[in-house]
Amino acid sequence: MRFIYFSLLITFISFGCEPKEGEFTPKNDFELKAPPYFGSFNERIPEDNPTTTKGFELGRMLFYEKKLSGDNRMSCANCHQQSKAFTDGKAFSPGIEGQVGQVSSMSLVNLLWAEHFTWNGKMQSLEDQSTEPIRNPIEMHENFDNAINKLEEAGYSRLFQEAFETDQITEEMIGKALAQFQRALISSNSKYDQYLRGEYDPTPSEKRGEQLFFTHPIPGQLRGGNCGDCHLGPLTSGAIDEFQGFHNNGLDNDENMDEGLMAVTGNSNDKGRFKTPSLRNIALTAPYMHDGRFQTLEEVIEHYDNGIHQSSTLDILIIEGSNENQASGERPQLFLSEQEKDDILAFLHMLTDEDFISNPQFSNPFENENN
Amino acid sequence: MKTIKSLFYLLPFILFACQDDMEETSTLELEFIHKAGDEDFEYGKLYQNEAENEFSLRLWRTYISEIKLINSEDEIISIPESYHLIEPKNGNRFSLNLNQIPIGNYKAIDFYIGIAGEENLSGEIIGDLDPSNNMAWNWTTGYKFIRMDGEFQDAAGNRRGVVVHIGKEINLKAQEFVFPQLMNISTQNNKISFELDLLEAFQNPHSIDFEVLSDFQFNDEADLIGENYAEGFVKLIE
Repeated sequence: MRFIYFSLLITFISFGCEPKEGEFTPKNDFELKAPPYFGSFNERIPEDNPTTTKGFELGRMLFYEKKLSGDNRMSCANCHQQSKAFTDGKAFSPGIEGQVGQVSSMSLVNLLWAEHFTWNGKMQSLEDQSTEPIRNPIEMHENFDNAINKLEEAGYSRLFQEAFETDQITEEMIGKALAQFQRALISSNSKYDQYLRGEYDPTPSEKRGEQLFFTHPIPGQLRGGNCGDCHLGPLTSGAIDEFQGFHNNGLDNDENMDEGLMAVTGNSNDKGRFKTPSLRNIALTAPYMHDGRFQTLEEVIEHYDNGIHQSSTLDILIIEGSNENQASGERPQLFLSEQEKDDILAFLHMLTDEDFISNPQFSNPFENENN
Repeated sequence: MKTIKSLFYLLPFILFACQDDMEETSTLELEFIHKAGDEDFEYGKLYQNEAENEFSLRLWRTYISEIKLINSEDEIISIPESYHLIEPKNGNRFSLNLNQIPIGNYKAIDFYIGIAGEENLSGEIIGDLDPSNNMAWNWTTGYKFIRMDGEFQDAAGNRRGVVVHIGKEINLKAQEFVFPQLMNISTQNNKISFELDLLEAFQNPHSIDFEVLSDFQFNDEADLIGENYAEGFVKLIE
């Protein structure tokens, strides 16, 4: 009896708070799974583009769909290959006409915890970012009228109907489906994750590397690699809010540095600031930096240890980050030992997630058809 | 006895019901105004500390937690899951709303600067505790209670960092504010305003000269900043 009373109350309460009838709520039926230590994410998914199974599957097909390019020979997956954690192994990627850009193709991983996409942060949403390369003359170089005609001829209208309840294929819908697929690209089963979940016992070197990675050095008190000031927490990516995750990491001096974030904000204090990428699967995503200038992780560590170029916009957390007391104005160096560099390298290799790069959910659906 | 049990069944109703249905509780807004001495705080603007270093900040965030209200009957109303990350967002202001505060007269409000106890290390997402929000140190050391990233120009004319990342239990500082007269929380427009004074992080009792010390992160020097913000950093605007 009491139970019934209680249940009735609950029912009553629930109905009282439900949205009014007639409001369209897209079906949110795709389960995005992420460990709690990545942080909350549901509120980061745009209300008008929740991830659905049909939307994700359509997005996956479009991601591998060569008809979206001007010559029907290139898809998103050309520059974002699953086996390389959705990069392409090149410093600069040629488009359909063989022209190359000025920045390296970025890994697509854990994008739920990111805003301001591309190296200079010019794309506000994943939806916008997803359609830009299709149109871009030095990338896939196709106009959307053509692309949509080709998709209609190939029978995509039914899939758009299922995903978005409209058979009118639009650029917006293409962007939304691609964004749904990419939001699902969650990498959370590296050795580091297994260690965080208590399933893996790290080697002494990996453990020391983790400590060094996340420690800001204080001369005489704490030894650190100073990586975690920008590559935050278990995600190892930059700060999400505004442009806090954009840093000048000392690649060049004032005279020869690339514009970076300044191209977006127009503020000269932002010159040379680039998006801090996630280091998830970093061992698979060479070459490194926005212009792919470093071939190996050893070179990258060497850069931070002893290769910093001073400039007026060099990040303050790099200037104020050394294991030795440095004189005012001296070029910042970390003064890591060879062992410490090896340890940091060991930690970086812990971030490789074999499941992520072999997950059949993320693979080319057109190849699977023939298997 | 039966009455008590019936009341118990009603409890979920009271806790989960839509706010519109509530008569006996109200919403209280807490407003935090970021200042540098008498000036309204702005990112990138130069301020002078007691030691006369000129410095600016690009980030300033403060965690407060365990908010409690004390009513005129000396009853303590603890706000559940009250972990809030305060930062200058609308200009130099930040507002948060506390819901379901019983209507009545109150004499004081308490909270901590920082995050107390187990929640700091739990990795659970409660309130504004979120490992992806740029305040977590790493998996084992919990959250930074106060974070300031900034820079100053030293005597030699070089850019140097002002880096204040304060955590650790010892720097969890209880704050208590007694209202000059009883505060009535009524059905609407309830607001308490506080000032956060940047300069107080670098003075009282320890005057910090950035030429000597400008990096406060998990080191012993960080505790000096903790002692500075313990008192006078947050002020009740009366």
